[in-house]
Amino acid sequence: MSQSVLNHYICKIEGHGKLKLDYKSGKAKLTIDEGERLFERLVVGRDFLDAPFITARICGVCPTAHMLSSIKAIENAFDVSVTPNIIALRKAMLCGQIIQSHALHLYFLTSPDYLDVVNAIELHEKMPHIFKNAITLKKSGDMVVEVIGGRSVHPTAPTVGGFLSVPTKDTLRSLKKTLEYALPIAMETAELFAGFKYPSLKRETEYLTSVKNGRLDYYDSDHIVSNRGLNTAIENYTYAFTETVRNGSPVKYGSRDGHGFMVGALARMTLGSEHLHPKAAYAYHKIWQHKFPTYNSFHNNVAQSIEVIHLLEEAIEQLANVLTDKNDVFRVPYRVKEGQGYGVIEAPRGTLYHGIEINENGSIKIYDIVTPTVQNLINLEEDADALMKKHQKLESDKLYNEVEMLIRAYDPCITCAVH
Amino acid sequence: MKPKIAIFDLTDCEGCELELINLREKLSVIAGEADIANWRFASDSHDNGPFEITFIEGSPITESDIEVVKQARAVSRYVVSLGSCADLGGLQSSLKKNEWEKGIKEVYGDKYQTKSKPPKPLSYYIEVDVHLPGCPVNQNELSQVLASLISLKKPEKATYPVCLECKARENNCLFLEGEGCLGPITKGGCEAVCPSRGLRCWGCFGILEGANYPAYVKNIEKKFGKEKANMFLRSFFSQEEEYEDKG
Repeated sequence: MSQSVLNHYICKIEGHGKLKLDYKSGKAKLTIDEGERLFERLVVGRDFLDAPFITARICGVCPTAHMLSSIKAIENAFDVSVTPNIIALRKAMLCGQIIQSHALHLYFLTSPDYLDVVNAIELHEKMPHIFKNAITLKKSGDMVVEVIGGRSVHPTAPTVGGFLSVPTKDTLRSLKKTLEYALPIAMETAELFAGFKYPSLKRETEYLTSVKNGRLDYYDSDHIVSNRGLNTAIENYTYAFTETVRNGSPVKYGSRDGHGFMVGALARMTLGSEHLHPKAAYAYHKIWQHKFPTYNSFHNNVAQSIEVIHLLEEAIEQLANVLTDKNDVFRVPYRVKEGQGYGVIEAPRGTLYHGIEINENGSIKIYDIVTPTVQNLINLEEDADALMKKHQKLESDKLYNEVEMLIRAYDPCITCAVH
Repeated sequence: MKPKIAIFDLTDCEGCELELINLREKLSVIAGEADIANWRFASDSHDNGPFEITFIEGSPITESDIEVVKQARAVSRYVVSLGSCADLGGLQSSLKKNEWEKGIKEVYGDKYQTKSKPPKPLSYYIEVDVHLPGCPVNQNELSQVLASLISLKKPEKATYPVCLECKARENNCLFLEGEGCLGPITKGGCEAVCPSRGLRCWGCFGILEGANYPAYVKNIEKKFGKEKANMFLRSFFSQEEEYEDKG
């Protein structure tokens, strides 16, 4: 590979990372090369209404997740409770967000590793059916966010207390049809990804996710749980792990008792598989046929593909809720006051936290964000070391390729991690 | 021979590149008409140039960002600034230099040493041929720019404000309703996507050439006070010197 600065980053991941392998010691090193963006500082002194708009721009892939977390944090600070129809629309939007992100990751970033193409655009000629599925699935997620939120990248309509404007019921009905049409394609996607031959890897891992009454609830959870017995109220979430700074690296690293842990689709499908919607449950039991945890992080791709089915079914259900709800008001009044709040949701890559402190005049005093990738990085390093140890007999460029594939399987978002 | 396209991303959110992927079927048409020779985010191709068309997204912040910008310019016929971060500096550049330095200490601690410089637009380091602002870029504008560049023609700039597009969509005027909407002084091309859903214009396309900036500033300072007006104005085009020039 050429040494030019025009191509020295790991490709097909969100953000800039460089990978260096020490074949002698069997250690992999991922360095982050991204400028500090200081989002937590950018919003300080600004009006609280600016926070959802600004923090959405942390990430072009998951802006809706940041926006909704931020809105939830502010509503928590002001003690606002929004109505069920608002919650249903937000839940549908969050489903759309995760579907668009997973479809991007599965087809555009990951599938070239297993389909022997240079990029997903090549599929258009070489495997047109798969290309069509990629586009349709991605579009179904994009449409949810665009129709409800106003735009698929950086939505415009969601705000504190509800929505600035909402689509007509007819538009929502046709959106629901779009999602129903996408379901069989999501099933084919799960078949495709469950059928790939993933590199072998097994390393026991602690998986974390947020839940409500023991079930997955991406928007509205009350506890954080893990497969090693963690079960803590959501407001104590940030105490469940430690964030450390490494000099020269613009990202922080999350760990629990000195070890890595994992959040995201694989964690959610490990801890929440008992209550999947019917088609997703079918895909899990009949198509995939293995039981999570398999302790192989490459299977995150399979977990994402099953989760997409679950979220399509969930979005359809939430849209049905909105359509039958007689309440046509999508914005509730609230009073600005001094206070602190937090908002936790399940973002595409795992549990996302926004915390805020607001002055009595509505200006932001403190803002704090913990992203999923920050929580996954140490686990990724531990997995990469285990992979190098297990496959040390491979030729060096093959091993390098496998470690790169592992990094991609995690779907890291360095952009988010830096914020 | 098909023209070669490269897409580089610097420090940013990658949302504008995503809008390229979101062109979906159109993207495969482009791939038929041009050779996508270097695109880290979506491909494994590692061409070092020369390129006919180079999109650069994000603002140069790190040493390697700045290096990428300079090298890409040296091997490209047309450089396009893809999105507000590249074109204007973007949200991340809205802090003044001293605030930025203080922010680094606050977020990462006193001992942390950064290798970065305060975010600037591309034009601070290199000459930009085609400006494509937006947070994110508008898909229709993006595909029009792509179409004309593939036939090696330089695209036209929008010469009207957001208000024109907003009126065409028959929206209520948020500015008249008392909001700090930047529509009257902001370059069009976004199809008024924010005001159409009830969100004030934040000015992500940058200031329109020939807009009556001083009159607008006077108006919103009177309405909201100097401090808040300043917050509205310096969201996407932070560069203090630029802002002061225009004021």
